[in-house]
Amino acid sequence: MHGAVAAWCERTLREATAPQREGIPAILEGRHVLICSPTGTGKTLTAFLPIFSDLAERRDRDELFARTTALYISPLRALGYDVEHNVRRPLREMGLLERPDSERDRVRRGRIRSRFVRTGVRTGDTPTAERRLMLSRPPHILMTTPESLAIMLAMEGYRATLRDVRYVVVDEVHALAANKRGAHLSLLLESLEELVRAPMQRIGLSATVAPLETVAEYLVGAERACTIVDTRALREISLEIRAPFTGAMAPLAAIARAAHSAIERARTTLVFTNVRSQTERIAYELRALDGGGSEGEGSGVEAIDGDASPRPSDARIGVHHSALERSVRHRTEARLRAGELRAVVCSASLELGVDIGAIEQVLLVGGARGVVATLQRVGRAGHSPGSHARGIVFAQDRDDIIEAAATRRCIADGAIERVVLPRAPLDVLAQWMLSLVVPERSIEIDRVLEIARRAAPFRTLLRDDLLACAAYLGGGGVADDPAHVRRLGFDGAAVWGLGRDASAAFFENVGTIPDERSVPVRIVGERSFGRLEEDFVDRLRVGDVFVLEGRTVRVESIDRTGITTKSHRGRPTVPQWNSHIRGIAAPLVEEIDRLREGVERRLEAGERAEAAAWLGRRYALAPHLAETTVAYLEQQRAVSALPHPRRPVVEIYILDGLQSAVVLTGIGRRANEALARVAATRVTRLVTGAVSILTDDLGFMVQLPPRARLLDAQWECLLEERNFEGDLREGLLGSALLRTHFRYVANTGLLVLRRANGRALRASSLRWNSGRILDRLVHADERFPLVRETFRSVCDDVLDAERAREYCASFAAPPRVIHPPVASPMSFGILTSSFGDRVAVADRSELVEALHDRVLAYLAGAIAP
Amino acid sequence: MNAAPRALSVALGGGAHALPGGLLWLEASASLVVADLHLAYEDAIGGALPLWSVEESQATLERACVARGARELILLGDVVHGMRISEGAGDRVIAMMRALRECCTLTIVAGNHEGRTRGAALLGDCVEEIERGGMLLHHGDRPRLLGVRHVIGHLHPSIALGGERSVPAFLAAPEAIVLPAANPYSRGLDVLARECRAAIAAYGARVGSTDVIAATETHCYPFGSIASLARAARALRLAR
Repeated sequence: MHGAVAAWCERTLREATAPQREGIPAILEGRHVLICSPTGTGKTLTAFLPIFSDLAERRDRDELFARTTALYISPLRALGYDVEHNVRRPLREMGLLERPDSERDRVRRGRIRSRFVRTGVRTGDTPTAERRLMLSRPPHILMTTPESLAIMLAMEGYRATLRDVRYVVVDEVHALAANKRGAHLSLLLESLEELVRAPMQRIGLSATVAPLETVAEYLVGAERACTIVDTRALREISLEIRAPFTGAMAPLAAIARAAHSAIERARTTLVFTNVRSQTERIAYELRALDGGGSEGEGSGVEAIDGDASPRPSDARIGVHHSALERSVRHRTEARLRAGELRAVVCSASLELGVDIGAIEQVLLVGGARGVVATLQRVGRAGHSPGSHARGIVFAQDRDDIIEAAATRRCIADGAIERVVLPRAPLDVLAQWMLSLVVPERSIEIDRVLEIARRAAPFRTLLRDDLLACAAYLGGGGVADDPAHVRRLGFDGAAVWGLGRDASAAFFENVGTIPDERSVPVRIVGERSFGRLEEDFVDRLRVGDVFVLEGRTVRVESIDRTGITTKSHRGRPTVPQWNSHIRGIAAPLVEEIDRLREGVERRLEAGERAEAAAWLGRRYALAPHLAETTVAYLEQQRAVSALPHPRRPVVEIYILDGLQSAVVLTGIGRRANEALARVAATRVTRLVTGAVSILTDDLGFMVQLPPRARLLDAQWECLLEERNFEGDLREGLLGSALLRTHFRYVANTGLLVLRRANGRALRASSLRWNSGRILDRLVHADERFPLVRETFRSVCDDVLDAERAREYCASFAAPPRVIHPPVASPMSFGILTSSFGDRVAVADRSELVEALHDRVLAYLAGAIAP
Repeated sequence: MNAAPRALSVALGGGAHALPGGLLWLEASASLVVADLHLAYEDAIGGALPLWSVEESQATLERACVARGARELILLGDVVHGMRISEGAGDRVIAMMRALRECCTLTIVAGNHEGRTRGAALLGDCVEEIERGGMLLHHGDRPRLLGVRHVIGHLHPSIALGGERSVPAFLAAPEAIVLPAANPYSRGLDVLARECRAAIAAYGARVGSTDVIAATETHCYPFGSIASLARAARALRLAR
């Protein structure tokens, strides 16, 4: 490496970490490199030190031109700012960094030469003046996001500054590879490859993920070789399991009490929950325990104006989740870094690597639902090379104990979830194709296909699919109906841009992130302190009490500008808002199966004590937790039966007069969701009326309409493999799930815009329009590319349709139908939840008829309320 | 009017009849009235979609004019969703107006979405209001003097059916008749919503004497007054 860089390393880094030892030479040799190691092992520096060295050498040769040399891309804007901050310090210490008062660039031999390295961040938050400055004085190292890269690649001014990019560093590759945002980035990297003068060197940074070959292929594309630096197992992680309950489950208050005493024993703690509503509830309870409680106990925390909860700036417990204002989240991160907060309760929002300083321990409320997520979350503790990461799982019920035990076993065995790249998402392809030609460029369609296929997720892209997307964007419309709005020109052989006005749709709607609109929430007389999803706000009424950012507030008014609230003393009346609950990941599901089978085998053999001992041996479960687990599975066997990996259990109940079947499969939420829709579709052929479904990780429930009953023999046949895909498709038509995902696909594919003519459409209008448009599209042309993409992404990315179908094909015997006398322990969670979706609802005329009949009967006094 | 079984038309008094599809029939002048077509909606929101709503609306109106033997077709405002539409969509709307004029006399009342009478460039001559059979027909986005029965659109009244479903509905009171939106994309304003009650109160109508008639493509469903529907909705815990 360059002398200045080598000297700095000698001076500052006492000893190179493993990724640095293996990664730096590979990068210096000019190879594409994927570095996979846990958080806190010096990955970022591994990527940047060779880049610093190259820049220093260029400066020495007087070839440090005013162009961007290295591009750093991360999925989080905050991470870009963070990393910029972190690379400036070594650059400064190496004497390479431009200072505000340093010499300006010099023009020699007709080219601008820099004496010092500049860094910059270009995201959606970058002020216009700064963006303008970047065009005239481009940073040598530019931090950005996939969406900003898309915009830069479509603007001539930026394209000129990107022609000399030599290095691309993609951070948090594991968080991108498996989703559409990552698929979009893979295409953008190929666009960039087309633009640059010489091939770029790609460097990927990833936390624990598998298989690394897939992620490497994602990083470099289908046709390039990649060196993998695998130092995954270097960090020591401990995962303790605590179950603060004696019966079947722990109330949140008990979890909070247990978490509070753990927090008291550490300097800094991160508390992870799985849903945002739980984040707020735990924070509320912790703050109450910390002294800001509704009883007004003495605290050391100042309560203001009789507030039930202290102002966030006074509390020692912070809250962090994606529904909070960005400024509030940044403040919490800064306070955590500064050591002002004892603990922060968060959802997945702090899972990725934003610098939050030294965290001593991580608490997981209810488990992280996956091995990678557990490693990622626990890895936030002891965030420095060589330190020990300590995590504690607080089980909320007995299934959480099993999940945590299986997670621990998977970590020990190195069994982690497999990354699956999305299969050529057509909505992403459509948006990217437009970005190739805006505002007025043109490109042959065969060339588009060639470039797209270099990106790993699009390796198998069909020419016909590309042509279908081009035809739709070119105004081809649907079936025989043309559209008058055209996004680009298309003549069958080439696509071209249609000028500035037509390009606006791209610039206003770039990206693949679903636009979940939110509404600001403010306290009377203060600025907004958080946001709530529009869906949730639609259901709120004046007088409702809810918790946001750990503050209990009462709704005073709701209008177009947001929600005005007042601090409130007392318990919330509105418990939660919509959140997507993660399903348990595949290897974990399999390990949970093994655990249940292992216990069952021993119970069947009458070896109860051995069952508990085996749990201790294989899963390192403490004796009291092993005993709780065995007792749980024993109870399930006594009331009903345990599901077998190749034979589900169907429990029949009558709930409020409605026949309801809980199908226990144990194959995970995503596959259960697919099974539930297939089962419900089949049930609707046997009964009249709407059928409701509900899923969780253990199984799903199908509830029949009033007066409908199925025989046991009929329940037994519901999960046959025959016509699985057709029935799933039928079950999805008209479902809220399909409509929601069509909206995302239609937005990404620029069929229906989120923003048009400088205005954002209301989310509720978007929701409504997309539903109507989907109905029309399916009716007019089922093969329309974005309709196919909607079904693909729902079946592959949201549900696990393939796993569900395989499960149905694997039955060793028909499902076992049981009529338990009481709710079985494994069904309890499903039975006490509220319904998610309705399948095969009657058409509108039937709904009107039904409503009319009921109202008429009521008004005539024929039915009592 | 009490809640009654479904019918092919429902008399609203004064020679006005609610018809399926959200159309209003005025006996005295043999006029068919339709409100809030919001044509070229797909195009105006920037969607790269065919103009399905134009196709459907034209076919429905032509069929209804022939079936009723209408002498006049009145478009009661918001005929187009916006004036910022593509040239192709504009041409399609002009062609539709031409076709409707061949069926019968076409009267276009200006609405807010077409920028009041600025819509004339696309739609042909527009009027602010007209009088038929003793009733004053206007779009309903501007206050009018009381003392006459008003026929308006603008509010898009509907009955929520739960989830993301609703059915368009007429509101009929001695003081005013409100037509539902004929645009298939409109979710509408729930007849039980406070905004809806406030809007009809501006015409002097009361919830106890304002009837709700749902209109599907094939039938009309008299639900009784807003007050009685609200009572039933509360008692039966209907999905809102």
